[in-house]
Amino acid sequence: MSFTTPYFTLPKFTYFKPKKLEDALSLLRQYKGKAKVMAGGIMLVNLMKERQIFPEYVIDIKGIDELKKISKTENGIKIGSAVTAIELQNSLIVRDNLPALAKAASYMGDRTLQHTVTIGGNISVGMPSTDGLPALMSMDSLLRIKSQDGERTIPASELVIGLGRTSLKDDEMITEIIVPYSSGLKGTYLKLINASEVAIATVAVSALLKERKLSVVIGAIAPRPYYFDHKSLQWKWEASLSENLKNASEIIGSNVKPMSDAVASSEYRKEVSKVLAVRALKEVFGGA
Amino acid sequence: MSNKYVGKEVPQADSWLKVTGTLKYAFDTFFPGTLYAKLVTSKYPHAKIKNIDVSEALKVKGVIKVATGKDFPYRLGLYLSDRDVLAVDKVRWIGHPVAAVIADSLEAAEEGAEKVKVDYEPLEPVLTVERALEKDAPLIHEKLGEYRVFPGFHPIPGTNIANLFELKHGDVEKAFQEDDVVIIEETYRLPQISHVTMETQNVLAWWRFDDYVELWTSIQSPFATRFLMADAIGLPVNRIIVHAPPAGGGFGLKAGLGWEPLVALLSKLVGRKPVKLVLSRAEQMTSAPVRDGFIAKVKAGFKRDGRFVAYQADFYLDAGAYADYTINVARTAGYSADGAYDVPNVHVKSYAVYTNKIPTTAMRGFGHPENHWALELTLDRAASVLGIDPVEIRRRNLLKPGESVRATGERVREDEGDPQKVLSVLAQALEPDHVDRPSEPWKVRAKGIALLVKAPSQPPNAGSSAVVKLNEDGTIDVLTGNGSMGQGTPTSLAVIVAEEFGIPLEKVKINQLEMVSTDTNPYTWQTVGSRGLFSDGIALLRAIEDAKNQIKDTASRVFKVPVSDVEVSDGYAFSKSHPWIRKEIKEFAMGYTYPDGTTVGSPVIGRGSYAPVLNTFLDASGHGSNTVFHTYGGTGVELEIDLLTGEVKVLRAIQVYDIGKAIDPLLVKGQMDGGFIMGLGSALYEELKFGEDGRVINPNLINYYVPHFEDMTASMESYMIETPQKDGPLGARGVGEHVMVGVAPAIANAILRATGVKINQLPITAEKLWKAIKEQKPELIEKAQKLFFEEGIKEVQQV
Repeated sequence: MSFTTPYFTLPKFTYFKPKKLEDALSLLRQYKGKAKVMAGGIMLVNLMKERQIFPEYVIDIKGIDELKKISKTENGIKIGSAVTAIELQNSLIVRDNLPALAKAASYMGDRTLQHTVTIGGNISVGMPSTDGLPALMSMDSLLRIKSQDGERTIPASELVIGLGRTSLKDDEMITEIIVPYSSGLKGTYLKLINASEVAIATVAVSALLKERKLSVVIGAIAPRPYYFDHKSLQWKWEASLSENLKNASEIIGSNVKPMSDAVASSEYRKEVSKVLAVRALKEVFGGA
Repeated sequence: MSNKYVGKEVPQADSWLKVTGTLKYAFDTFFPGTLYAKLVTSKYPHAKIKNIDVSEALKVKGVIKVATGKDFPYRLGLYLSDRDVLAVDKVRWIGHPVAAVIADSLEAAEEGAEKVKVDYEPLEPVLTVERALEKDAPLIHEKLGEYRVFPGFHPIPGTNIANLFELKHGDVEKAFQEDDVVIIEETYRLPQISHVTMETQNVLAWWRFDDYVELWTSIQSPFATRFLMADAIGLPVNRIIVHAPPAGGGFGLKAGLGWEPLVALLSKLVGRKPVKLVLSRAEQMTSAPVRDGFIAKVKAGFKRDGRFVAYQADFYLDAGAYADYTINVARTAGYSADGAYDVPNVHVKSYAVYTNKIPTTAMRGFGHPENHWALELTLDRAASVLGIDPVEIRRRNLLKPGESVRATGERVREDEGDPQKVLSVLAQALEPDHVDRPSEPWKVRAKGIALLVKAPSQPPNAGSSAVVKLNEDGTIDVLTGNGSMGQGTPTSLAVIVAEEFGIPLEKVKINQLEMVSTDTNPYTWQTVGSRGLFSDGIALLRAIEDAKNQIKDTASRVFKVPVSDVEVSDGYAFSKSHPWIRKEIKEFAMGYTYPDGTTVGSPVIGRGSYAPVLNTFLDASGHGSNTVFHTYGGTGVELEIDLLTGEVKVLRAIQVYDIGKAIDPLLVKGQMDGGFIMGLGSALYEELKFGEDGRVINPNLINYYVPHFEDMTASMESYMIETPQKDGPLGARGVGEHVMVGVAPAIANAILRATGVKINQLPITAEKLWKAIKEQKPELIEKAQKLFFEEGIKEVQQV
């Protein structure tokens, strides 16, 4: 996506802002293939302005209260898909229990845009630049997806199927994110960009530690994030941290195949992936 | 006289309107019935226009007219008339405006623009300077020889060279062959960058039924815009009325002539209705000019003791498709190539070269970010080879005021400033030899400096004028022609007036904070080159003196004392010999009226003007006297490099300038901080990237990154040295452009000093630096990786 449009205006479309989820799903069905769901609208509006997509109908879900809730139960934490990046950062539930997600939210767009960016929109665009997806994947999160026919739940890792492509069907939308942990997580999210705010990531890494469960997700370097856990990292719980880190960085280095693009080269991304992964692991183990 | 305002920190007079979002920019101008224009632009870098079919566009509801290049057979330009209004016969870059659609709504104009069909016959594009200079390269401007050229410029018809400037001083060849001369040879490069004014270029034009043309436009220099447009389209100058509200940033983009002729002609074409054109960010970064790309091939000779004895430089400015302003950037980079140093042998050739890429124009620094990138890096390379401290090598070579002669043959004035003091203040503040330990063992701390000197680059007759009007209640209205674009000059001018009359600042109104109109304001050549405060300031002081003389004349008759005995200050006119004989200035504002009605004197209106004295064009060897003042400065940085990733974080910035007199230190500090951040952006992030066909591929502020708040350097220190300029207003010199010139060289010099790694091309992105370290000093990365991955890890209980 190159943002080269000379246009100020958007192509013509019909705009809906339903208050109930059922109404949104019904509109999605009614105008299947011609409608787009809009949450923050960051990517959607730009794609329309670029004349890359021409939805005849836009269904704004920001008016649906049940999509804006964050709740905590013993079995996990549920986050509505229209929760904004600022709301994630301000939520005590998220800040206290899901540090990686709170940190990832602080990277979604700039300070102004964070009032508009939503977690659902951020991940369902399907672009490598998503901050939400690596964080959610590191926590083994599930996505609740609804359509008028009913609902299904998929692991966050199965959402993106290619560059800018997701497994969402035309009449489906993500309604909720379920993180299967409610406490005791150590997690972080690190990102290397060629500037402090906004710019597109070179590499993003999210790490999670909960008891004897460890995961490292590397985003921004390929169409889909890379997922590693203690098994694939051959983590030895009895060995020293330094031995494990050295080993893990080598495994990561030999398993990721980053893309080269205008942001960074493959070679550089691979090197930075290793550095950020180790930095993240040091952080979650308190060995920084 | 004790200063009440001069030298005190006075906030910009329009701050309240800005922070409340109520200042009216050109962008905000609108009249009922205004039509909208939209550009249709070229998809080819170089092509013949075979046919333009507007029939489908005209069918769009709301579209009124579509104009093409043939409608407007005029040539535009400041120093070289190489621009067309809309492309005629051929296009010269991807983004070249080919047609303009006028409609009653923006939506209709945009839809219409999509439907204009242009048939092209592609020509071989010329996309690099190297290719452009080859003998068999296609010509981008076949009629270069027929264009109008400003005196002092030398286009080479039959080539793609828009201008060649040559500077010769001494004998470089001989000097290079002397014993004991160490030679440094390097090629340096800078990318094209965008001005990124927050307010994009926009014009509302109305060609009136009485054949006067009114324009509301976001520009720096209303008088230059008016003259250049009148000259190009053949109207008497005063038939064009340019209204310039405060501009949301200028930085050189809005100097000279912009879109005004096009929009005015569109207004005429649609039956003399007002027409507005606003560029989108993408249009601004593809169809409007940016800063030149730059290549410098440099050979420098130094004696073992560090004396800089010879400097040979070939500069190539990638001017893009039009060079009307860039030929002067190239000339300026050439004649000031020797910077702040006394170099006895200099030979510079500076070329402005056409390519089939986005056109270029003036930008803050005007050739100096370019030539100082080459010069200041070369000095540190020499220092490193010779084993001399970077401060010391500069100390040994700095120009000596009152003694030295520049390569142009111009003598360095006694009162020009104190370069040695700039260097020593900079060195004292930065302590370049004391480097703190890095925050992590795999990082390195570094310090670096760069010096600079710059004068306004302007024609020998670049004049200014000012008017001071007294009102009935003793308030004062001030008019100059200086554009207001956030630089602060109007506030400084108000400070001067309040100080000189000794009245409260609130009583002084500077009208250009709201609008400069060529019909009401007095003439100023341009608001560019850091010349505003200097040139308009001198004119204003003369206007103040004129107004005071009128008051004195009346007061002497009222006081019955000789005129020479009357003084005007502290808000009063009084007799110097009998100071108790005094009256407030306001009593004389409209002439003095006795109780019986008898009036002496008349309304007070002071006028003053200024033009440089004894300036000339430069001759064929680049010799002459073409400057009015020079400002010396220096930038120092302390930074930290992460060897694992190549990330650079600038921790501390030091800015030192000899500005003669800080009339408003708050504004000077604002310039120094702002210029540093702008320089930081160009050093670390900014670069217009081109696709294989020459198109700009990142014309937006996501892929073209400029510094945001979090990128600001935490510690920014500014030092103002005040060596008075005898003919400057209250001793002052300009500083607005200088403040970004030294930033990138200081950063590159810090990197060189700390790591030994040479970076010859901006921007220094993390990846570029990492790759350069890996290539030039791989052992640094290996050591850092060892420390990071294997050692220094705090062992913790894992579970």
